Amino acid sequence: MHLEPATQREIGEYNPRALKTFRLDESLRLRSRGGDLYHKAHEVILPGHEPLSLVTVHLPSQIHDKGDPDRLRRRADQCRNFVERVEGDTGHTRTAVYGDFNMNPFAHAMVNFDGLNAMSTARRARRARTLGGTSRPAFYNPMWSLFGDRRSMPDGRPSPAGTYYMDEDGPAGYFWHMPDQVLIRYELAAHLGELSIIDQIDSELLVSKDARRPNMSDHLPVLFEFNESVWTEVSR
Amino acid sequence: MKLSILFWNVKGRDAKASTAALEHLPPRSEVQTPDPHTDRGANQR
Repeated sequence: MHLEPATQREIGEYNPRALKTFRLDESLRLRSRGGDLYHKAHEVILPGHEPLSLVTVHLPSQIHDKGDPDRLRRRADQCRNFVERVEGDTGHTRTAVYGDFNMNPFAHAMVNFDGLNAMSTARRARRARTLGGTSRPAFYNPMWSLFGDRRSMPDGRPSPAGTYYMDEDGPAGYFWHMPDQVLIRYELAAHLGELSIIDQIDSELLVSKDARRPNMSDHLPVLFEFNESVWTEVSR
Repeated sequence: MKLSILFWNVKGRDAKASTAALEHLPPRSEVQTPDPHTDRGANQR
């Protein structure tokens, strides 16, 4: 039997998926900085201030890797190269990279020097990492702090332990995963405000009432904020 | 001013409900960037 490869359009109609991004203040201007199939870049501009770069990513699922872990690292390598190209074009590294990376914060490709080079503490991301004569700026990945039960919810229940729950996760499974992440350069770390996995918007629960698993989409949304101090006036 | 970003990976079949939920966000919310790609039907991981 001969099967024609499905076109992108047909696949999209079969399983349309959108990484929705909402900017909660419309007085800021956006300037496109290009993109490809898996990444898009924008500069956020507050007139009279140094701009920030936002890179949205949606990397392919590992389900197609068929046991080849190097494909995951190559995707991370491509993502890092995309970000570095944007930073070269804009001339600054005030960058946040966020979206569905389809890997966990502790994945080899996420922390690897030849991958996304993303560290679990801001302090560790303070300086570039140098290996074999090559030096690369690191990312701070604050999502590490959101794993597991955090008993801070108003109803006394734990907040979400990840952004994605996998029921059939095998004998070595984690069940809760965190493919949806925010990576920031050290320049922005001191200005990071709220960071949370959202499981309720107003009275609308996004998780099941008892098991607290995602039930509106298979992923939960992530909110992150930069404080007002993130805006540095342009020196004249 | 603060810069607040909310992002959410939603499937098409969930889009209606998720969009309705997002109507509860502050009124100045807006869609900022589209998805970089349409997932290849594979996000079942």
